[in-house]
Amino acid sequence: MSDEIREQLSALADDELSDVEQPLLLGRLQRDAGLRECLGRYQMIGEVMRGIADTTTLGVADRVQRVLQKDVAGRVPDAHQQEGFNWWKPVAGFAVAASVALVAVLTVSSLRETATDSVPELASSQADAPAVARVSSDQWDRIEPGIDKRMSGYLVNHNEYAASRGVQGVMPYVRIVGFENDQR
Amino acid sequence: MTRAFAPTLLAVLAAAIQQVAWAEVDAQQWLERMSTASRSLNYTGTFVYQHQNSLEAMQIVHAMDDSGERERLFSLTGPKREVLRDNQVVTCILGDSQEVVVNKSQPRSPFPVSFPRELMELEKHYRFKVMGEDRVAGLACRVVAVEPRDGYRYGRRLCVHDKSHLLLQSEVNSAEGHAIERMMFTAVAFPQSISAQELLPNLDGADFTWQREPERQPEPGDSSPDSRWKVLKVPDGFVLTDHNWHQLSEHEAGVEHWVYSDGLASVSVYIEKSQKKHDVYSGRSHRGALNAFGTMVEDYYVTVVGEVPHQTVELIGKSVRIR
Repeated sequence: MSDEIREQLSALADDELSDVEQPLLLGRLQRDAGLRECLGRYQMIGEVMRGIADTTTLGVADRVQRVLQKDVAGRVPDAHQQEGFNWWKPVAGFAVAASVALVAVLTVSSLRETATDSVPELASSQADAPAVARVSSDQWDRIEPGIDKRMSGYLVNHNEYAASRGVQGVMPYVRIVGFENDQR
Repeated sequence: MTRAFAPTLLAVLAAAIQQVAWAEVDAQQWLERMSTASRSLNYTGTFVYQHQNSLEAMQIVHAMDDSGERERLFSLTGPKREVLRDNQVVTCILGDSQEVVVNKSQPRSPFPVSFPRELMELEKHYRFKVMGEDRVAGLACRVVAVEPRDGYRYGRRLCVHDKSHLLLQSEVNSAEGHAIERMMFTAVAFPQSISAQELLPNLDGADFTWQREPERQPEPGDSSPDSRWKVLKVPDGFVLTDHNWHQLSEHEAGVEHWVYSDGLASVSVYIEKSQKKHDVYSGRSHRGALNAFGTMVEDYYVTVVGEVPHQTVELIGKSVRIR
């Protein structure tokens, strides 16, 4: 999912999506199960953050789908504006909860690293932090078929070594469990 | 009057320096307790993990009893994924890619507060601070900040439970103080015992592709030539802590593995022979604070992975040479 779509979801949650974008996004929500899943996930996370989540309520996407379908059934066929309004209503219920999570997400979305033009020399402990600026996005010149498999093996192996000494920033394996595949 | 003032000033300065030193020791003691607690306690909890534009919820079950340490970590949102770990193996069941990765587990060492030499080295590269109190998942916790002194490593801001010393919240920061990723418990419990049922996976993975580390691992010089490789550049403070040969799956050739650590962060260098001629392998990727850099040196894939900034893995990766 692109950052633009995430931003639109965030804007939708905050009721700040422009009139032009709103019908497009809502239409996309109707077609895209992944997008609805994402909204559902935000709701789940909102509940988790409030400590009321129950792991048996994981079919949030299905519930969103049912609400949407119910809404489609009751929609006036040729009233485009009305359609948008009707769509917005059920989504808004989830969006309120999602906004809690989205605000948190947005606070971290400024995590862009700063960049350096030249490859730094061996660091000195007294040296100034090298200026970094590039967004640390994935860039493989060529994705050969085995690369995902190779990386999975390396990541699991590295995690075990890293966890066996030092202090990791997060619990071991969180990055393996908590990452959706970017290629999805 | 100036003469009388000077000793007082010196005494005040000495007291201030002493206080800073005690604060550092105190912070390291919190980290040591935290490191022990994460391995020795029974606990279950739900937490959120946040990185860039994503927020995921997960659940952890951790048990420590006569049979040793056992852990189950699984996703509550997004793709179904589970990691099961005991003293022998780590099993990662990845529902989305229908893959199971099995590796041997490594014995966990405590945070090296007990080793003064390592501690002195750490202080060259990080500042340690005990900050105020906070509250996470309804529990009081102590904030401990670890700040990097250069841009080749990340900082951490941790909140450690006052009573159990379990890590309840953590944030990995760049040298500039920007958050890279966060993890926070929303609910946590410390049961007397954990049933075997709670440590069983929901995903069986029976029809998934299995990538299993073979029982017998190649020894240095076994099939591969004794290391012909050298890593020319690592940031100050990183030292070689492990050098192994692995066979990460039965169907693949061995991988030479070097591990560098500065005491807090670790970086792995993997070197693996390409099966194809004129293969191309170059680029980078990341998972939260974990960065990877890949390049080819002659017919070998060189991959550097670590919980360090991108420029650190790239610096190391670009310096790998054949002797």
